[in-house]
Amino acid sequence: MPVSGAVVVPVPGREDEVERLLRSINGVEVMGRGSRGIAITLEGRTTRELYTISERVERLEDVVDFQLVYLNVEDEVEE
Amino acid sequence: MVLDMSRREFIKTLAATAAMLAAGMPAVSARDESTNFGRAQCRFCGTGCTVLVGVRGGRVVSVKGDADSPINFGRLCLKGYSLPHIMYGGGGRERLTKPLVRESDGSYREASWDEALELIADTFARYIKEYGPDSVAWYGSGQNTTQEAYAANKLFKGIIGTANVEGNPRLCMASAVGGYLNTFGADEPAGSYDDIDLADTIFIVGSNMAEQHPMLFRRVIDRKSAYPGRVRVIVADPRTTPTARYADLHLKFRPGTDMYLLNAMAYVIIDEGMVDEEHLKYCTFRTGLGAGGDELDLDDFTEFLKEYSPEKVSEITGVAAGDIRLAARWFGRRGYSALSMWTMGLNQRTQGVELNCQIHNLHLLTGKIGKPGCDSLSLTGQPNACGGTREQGGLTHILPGHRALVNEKHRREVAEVWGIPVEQMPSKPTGPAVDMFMRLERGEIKAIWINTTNPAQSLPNCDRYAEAMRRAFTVVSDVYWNRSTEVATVVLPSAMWVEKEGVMGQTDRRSQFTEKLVEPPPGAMPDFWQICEVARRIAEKLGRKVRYAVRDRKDPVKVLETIEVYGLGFYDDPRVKSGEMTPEEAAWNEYRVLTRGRDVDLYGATYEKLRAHSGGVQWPCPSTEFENRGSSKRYISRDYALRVFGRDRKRYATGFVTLYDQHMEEMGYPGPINYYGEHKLKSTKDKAVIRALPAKLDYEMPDETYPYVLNTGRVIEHWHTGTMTMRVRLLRELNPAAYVEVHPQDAYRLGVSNGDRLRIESPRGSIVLPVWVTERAQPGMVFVPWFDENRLINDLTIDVPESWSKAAEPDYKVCKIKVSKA
Repeated sequence: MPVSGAVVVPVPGREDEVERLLRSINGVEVMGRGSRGIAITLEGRTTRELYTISERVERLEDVVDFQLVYLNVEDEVEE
Repeated sequence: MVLDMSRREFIKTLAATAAMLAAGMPAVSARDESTNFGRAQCRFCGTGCTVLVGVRGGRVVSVKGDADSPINFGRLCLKGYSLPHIMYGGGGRERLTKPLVRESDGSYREASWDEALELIADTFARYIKEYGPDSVAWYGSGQNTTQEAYAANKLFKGIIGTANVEGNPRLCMASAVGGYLNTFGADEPAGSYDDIDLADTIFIVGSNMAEQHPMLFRRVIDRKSAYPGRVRVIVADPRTTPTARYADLHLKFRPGTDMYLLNAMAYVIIDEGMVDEEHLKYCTFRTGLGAGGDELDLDDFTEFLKEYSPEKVSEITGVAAGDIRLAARWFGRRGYSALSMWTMGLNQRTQGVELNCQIHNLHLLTGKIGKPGCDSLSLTGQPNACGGTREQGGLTHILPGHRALVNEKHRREVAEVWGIPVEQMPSKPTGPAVDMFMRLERGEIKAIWINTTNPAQSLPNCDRYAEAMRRAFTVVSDVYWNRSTEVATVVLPSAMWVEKEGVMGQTDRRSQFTEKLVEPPPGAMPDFWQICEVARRIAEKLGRKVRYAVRDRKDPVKVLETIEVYGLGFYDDPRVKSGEMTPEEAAWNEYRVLTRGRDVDLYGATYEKLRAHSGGVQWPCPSTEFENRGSSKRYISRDYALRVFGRDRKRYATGFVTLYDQHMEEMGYPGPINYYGEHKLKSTKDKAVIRALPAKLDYEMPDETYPYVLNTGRVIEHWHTGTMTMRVRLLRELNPAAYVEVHPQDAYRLGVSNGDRLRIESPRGSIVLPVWVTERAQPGMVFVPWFDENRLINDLTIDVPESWSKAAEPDYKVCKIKVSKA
């Protein structure tokens, strides 16, 4: 199962709302908030599913930017 | 394998740590002792993002953006995200692992490496002896490492003695080279990616950066988001791409009319008093391209532009005069910086060189070059088109270190380093890429080696040349079966990306190192090794020895000893034989010598520095001092940099770049600004040339029989011919097949809707594709991507020489077609 790390950049002033929405998405875990955005992890059964979750995050209202920074697919690659 | 929970939790910790650090949170880096991370450059586009590649059990299992990278700052795009998967298409079963030789019945049989290489060397040597050196050819790629491209150049131009050395960069950026040479007398840009972060006006022309250079576009967004009131983004493009939708102003011009548009912007800049008279001291004016034409002054140039007022060109371009004036005002506003970026929309055009020059004109007139946030920055499409081809000399007319083949002094310099008699080298170019395949078709070229590229899908009018490849003795080195391997006589299975080491050079004069991190699948071999092996065998058969110089690693102008060998010599180097260094490093060090003292000075780019510095080295970098990572700006002195930047260098986590031109300083060229390129005319010495270029249309504009324009290009999910990305399930599922973008007005007129099938016919071929009705297109123009090997849109594109740019780049953006519901 692939695991990814990403940063979500909310519209200034809307951080709480974006964080609340992120917590409601299956497969997303909020790790905390920093000066450059909200750190999250994403988990899915396949890379395709991970991408679908990413798209949901990216399309959330008040999300300015979504940046992928890490991907691990070791069980998928070894299939 | 299914991960156990503890391993999974641990990986999640790694993902969380990477995300927290990127978000600006304090986090303790978790270490995964079972996964080794190494640094590499992304395998895809010309941006050159730096990535950290995780290897476990001998396989690539993870990727993360390198937070230290001055290019992507730790971020990844969709294709970068897919990097681990490109190596294991079909679970690894689709990788080529055995040399294949075509039988007389068209089937392929497996062969040993020795048999395949001997067959290649024997056939090439036989043709060379019987028909001369120009009967064989090399067709390489902007995806070869610089060492691979250098080795091939040395084999073909040095040992064999033919100028039949071309590559796919001819199809993507030759016009940009022509533009820089015509304007500055030297190829490649004056600025760098850092200018994006300081630009007030960002002018994007003929480029869908948001999808094709997403990490650079991210920097555009960052800049605009930080200064929304100050920064203006202008996009000139006949399509409403995601890039255009983001723009403050979209100039949606009619296909083929952008020469009018750019002359009109120059007109407004002069008309409304936005010329920088001070900067014009470093410029001169001429009519036309090259050394012909007449010398002009600003008054003459102003007179020339009178035909191009926005009001006069509005009708032909389809852009409102007010929008053209606004674009020019934003570009030329005093006290604000301006940066232009473009790609294939300008380069792959009949007027490609002229269009490039017109962009440079705007910067030179306004003095928006050589300052913070100012540059005329041509973006490249491939990860090493700049390094392996433009700088290394991987085309018929050039030699390593920005040298010209026709220049006897240059040939002597190269022959000396290569250790061959200068008389063995060709003294004249043969012909550019498409011409090379035309000569293959006519039987003048009898054997060709195609390496890391897929011309049977990417050449214009590609079916014609696929058949020529099938008839000739064609060698194809690649990692997956594709349209070119299927017409090859011999297929060689190659190692890819982090299965081999090498240096690659990108857009902003940057060279980066990619480490070898995993072994290739058994049977696949690095292209560098393949070239060296074939070189040894051909040299033996021709009886041509090379005087190979064993060089000091840090200071390779120091020759320690000379040995006579058959072949290129890199594997014969005693330090390579003893395992002290790799043959690729030996080749790189020899190449560094050929860049020394040239504008493209990479002498200071030692392996030690390339390995240590994320984001690599930017030439000119004459100094081997460890911290010195080269020059971020060209053509300006240290004093000038201090004046406009308030400092003379920029520091990174490791090392620094200077904000001035180290080559200019080393050579003692007078400043503060000096366009020192090798101009052909004395009157243009040390100056940039503003060119008066009458607007022209593309070669093949629509007519009564073929009333539509076909525009081709890439999509976000796939790269080039899809050889790698179509092997990634995610990308294949996201975008499985080619389609045709049709504007709603045309769809109504043609009676088609989404999913219907449209027949597209050009004078060269036809194709039927599913329709996507979208306002991305414009009335009278359709767009088709070229990644799909089952729907070859390049069967329709135009290949006749009259349609090429002055740099012999084909026109993939404007060709006439007719369309009908299928």
